[in-house]
Amino acid sequence: MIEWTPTPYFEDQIRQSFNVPEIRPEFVNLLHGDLTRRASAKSRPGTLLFGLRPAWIILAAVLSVLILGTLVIGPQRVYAAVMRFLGFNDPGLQSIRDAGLESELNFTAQPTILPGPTSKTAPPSASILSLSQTLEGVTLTLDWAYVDESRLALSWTTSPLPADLVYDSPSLTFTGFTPLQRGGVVQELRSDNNQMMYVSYQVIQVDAVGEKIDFSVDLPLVQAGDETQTPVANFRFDLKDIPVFRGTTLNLQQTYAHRFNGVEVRLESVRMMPSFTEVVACYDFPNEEAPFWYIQNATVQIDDGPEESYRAYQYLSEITDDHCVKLGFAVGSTAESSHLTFRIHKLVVPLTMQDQVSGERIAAANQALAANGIEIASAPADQSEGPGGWKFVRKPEGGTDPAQDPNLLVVHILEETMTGPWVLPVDLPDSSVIPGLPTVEPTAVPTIIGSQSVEGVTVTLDWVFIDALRAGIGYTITGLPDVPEANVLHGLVSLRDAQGNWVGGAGIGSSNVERVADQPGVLRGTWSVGFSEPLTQPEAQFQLEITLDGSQENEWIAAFPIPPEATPYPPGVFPPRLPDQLIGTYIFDFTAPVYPLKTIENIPPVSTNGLTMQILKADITASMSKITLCYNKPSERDWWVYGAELKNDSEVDTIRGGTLLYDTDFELPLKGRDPLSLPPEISELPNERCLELHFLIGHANQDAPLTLTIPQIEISPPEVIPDGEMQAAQEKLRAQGIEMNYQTWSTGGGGGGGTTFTTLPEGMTEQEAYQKYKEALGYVYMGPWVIPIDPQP
Amino acid sequence: MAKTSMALKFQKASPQFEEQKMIQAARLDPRAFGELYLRYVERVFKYLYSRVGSVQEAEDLTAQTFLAAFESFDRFHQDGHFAPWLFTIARNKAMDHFRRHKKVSFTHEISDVPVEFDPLEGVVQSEQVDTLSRLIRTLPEEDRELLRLRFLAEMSFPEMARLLHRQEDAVKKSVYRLLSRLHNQMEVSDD
Repeated sequence: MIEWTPTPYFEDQIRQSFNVPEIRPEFVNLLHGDLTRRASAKSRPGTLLFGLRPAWIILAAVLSVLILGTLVIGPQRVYAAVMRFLGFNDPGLQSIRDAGLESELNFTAQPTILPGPTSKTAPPSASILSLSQTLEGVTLTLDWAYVDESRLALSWTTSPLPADLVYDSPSLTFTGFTPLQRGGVVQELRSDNNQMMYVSYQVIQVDAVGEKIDFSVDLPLVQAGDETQTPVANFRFDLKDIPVFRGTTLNLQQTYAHRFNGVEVRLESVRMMPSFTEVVACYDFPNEEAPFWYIQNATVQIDDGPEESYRAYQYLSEITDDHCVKLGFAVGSTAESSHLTFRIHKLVVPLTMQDQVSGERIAAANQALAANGIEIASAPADQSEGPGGWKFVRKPEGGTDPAQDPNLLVVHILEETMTGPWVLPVDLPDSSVIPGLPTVEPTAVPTIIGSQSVEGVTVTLDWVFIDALRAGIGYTITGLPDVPEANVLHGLVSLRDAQGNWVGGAGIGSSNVERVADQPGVLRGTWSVGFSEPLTQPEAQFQLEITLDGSQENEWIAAFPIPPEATPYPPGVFPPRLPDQLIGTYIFDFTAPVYPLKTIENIPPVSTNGLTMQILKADITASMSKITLCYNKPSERDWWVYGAELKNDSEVDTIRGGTLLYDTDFELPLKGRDPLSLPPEISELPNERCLELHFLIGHANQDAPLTLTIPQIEISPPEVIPDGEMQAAQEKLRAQGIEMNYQTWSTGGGGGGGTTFTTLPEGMTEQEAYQKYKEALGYVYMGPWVIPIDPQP
Repeated sequence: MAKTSMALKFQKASPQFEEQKMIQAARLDPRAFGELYLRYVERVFKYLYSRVGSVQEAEDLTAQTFLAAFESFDRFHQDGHFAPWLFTIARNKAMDHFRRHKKVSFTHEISDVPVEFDPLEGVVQSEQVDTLSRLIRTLPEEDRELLRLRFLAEMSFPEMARLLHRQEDAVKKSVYRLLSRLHNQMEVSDD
């Protein structure tokens, strides 16, 4: 039989059948206004204790509780209690943090920079970015960017690099245009402060591209000494709406090309690292007769220091008819260095052992070599004493000076040469010439695992945790104003998986935020979300988005904990928003290990008061538990588990939810649903029920067993309790000194009932009396059932 | 920005999350209760109109419901179950209304409870809706209440289960059986 499913059309017909008119907007507004007035009146401030501000009262109370608590129950429990008080009421996340299970991250950041308020008349100023990423254990922060019509400057701060890794040259990709007249770049990483600056010389005309530009920066991390420069990792920063200032506003210079005797040399890039300098230079061939011209003598000079000759030479592929080489120099950057001069002294046509120079050149060489006591003659290649086909006729004996080596002197004389020098001076990047930068004191190397800044507001991802059932993160926000009156943090937090799907749907999540003591404006929060299906892979990739947005009144990440003693706002005064505007979206791409799901079976049943509870299985991760529990109900009625607690070694959580899986009295599971696989000793029993119980606490990767405690099971009270049952219960209660009334009502459209206790024994609370009432009705079956669950196989 | 708008869409697709935030905001600042009011006022009105059949009385009861909810909001602690709590108040207000207007003393006897106004006696919009209206009128009041809660109060099955103190699956089963029965009766009627 095919089960009929109601269609939306049919459901809409049901709605129409009631013939309900639309609500009048006037009425909606009128009532809304009335509620608002009442709310304002309700918000009136109360009298302050001892005339103190609420913050001092709260602080004094908290300190008293902390001191007493520390003395009585110890600091760790006090800490846990405080965390719960502050809203960190997620024992599963607390456990995994206590157990140090946060993931070491390998993530990148893709921040979305929103336009800032830049006036046309605003003076040139660097855009402060502070965008951080961590790859291969290296954290790189793009601190700022500055662009005018002829200069583009960027600055990073990096954590110390491993010995085998080095930054390659960055590449820039502009959106919608290509810069004109590219004029070389210089990149310098200084070891004293781990700061790296990059300056690119080109033309970006404001009239052509506008006052703000978008561009991406790729900065590869490569293996040191890897000539192929294969990236080990690539830091990518997408920058939006970076202002372009008119004219040349940076006092930095770099000579791009030097033409000498009709031969031009162009300095394409200088990459200066702490231990070496790499120069890419291109040059014309003095003539096209020789197949190849070689840079025989090139040097770099730092400030007024000695000229250093190159140690490595790599011929690069030709770039638009240029012949380009990459030269390596064993000279690194220093804190004091401010200028670099690159010189090419001589271009040569290299000789080979197969070459045979002419007799005229041999004769001319002998004239030059005579002063050194050297004479040569032509010789066939197989008898040649060096490249070019020659042999010594006369040469000086001995000598240890390599520069006076007779073979080298002969070869250098025979080679065709073009002598310079071609001189190309370069200003090394200097942040002091960048407008708008605050005075920067040397700072410690960042130890954070990821942070990004927009408009001076920094979001740091402190930790993440992923297990098969849920994901949790911890974050810190700095740079927002300190607004003690704000009651919520406005914005959104969300998570997407590697396929770009939003994570969620399990009905599980938490979000908390608190102000950090003694650090005004610093906020710290946690956030978690459950997976609709358990993760099975060992590692998973996610994208976390944190949007700070005060422009949306009803969008907020979490509420700040406010103790009941806090003073309400006066009438007509609304809590300030934090932030008070849209700041931006901070996006963290990260990969993290997935702590696996453990399924524990064969847990011994526990009997109490003649009723046996059996856990068929427990699906447990480090931060969460789903427990399938079966029991034989005392009757066919709706006996449900109440007040169940799950405890691990350090934390305890009460039941967060559950699902009724099996109950033949209630015809469950429904037809068409997957039947629950039950052992015969359970399925053959009458009144058997199986539930799946959910707890936000797991094993926290500890060996210690968990303990499930079920204090009692109860019947859900019906809407109307039969008179006979009620009268019998009242008799039992009367014997215990409890007098009560019970009233029911019904409109035919349902019904209800309620109790009123008129007489209670001295010292008994209404809550205790209500428990007695349920017991008297026979709606409670007392336990407790205490079931250990050992996560070890 | 594209990413931001996607995030907004996601959040808008998570009404429970939105509602949770509204509740927490209202707890911190009573003026934020207005958001909860705007979220539920139409549903409460429709539900109450279906009970009393008069716009004026439905508006009056709607106002009473929200004012009562506002005044007692401090005692509401079950964040995930605002709708059952609110509609419990609405049902009680409707009950009070019948008590006052019918001048009948409240007793335990269900037969003594006054008969409510039946709005389904009004205008019908189409033949099918007319047929459906007549069929619904013949239903037991308990079943009609299920339809009101589901289709006028727009309550989810978990919310209905909490309001009615029944298991979610049992409520779901009852509603689907009821809809199936009505559908079958519609087909028979058409034949």
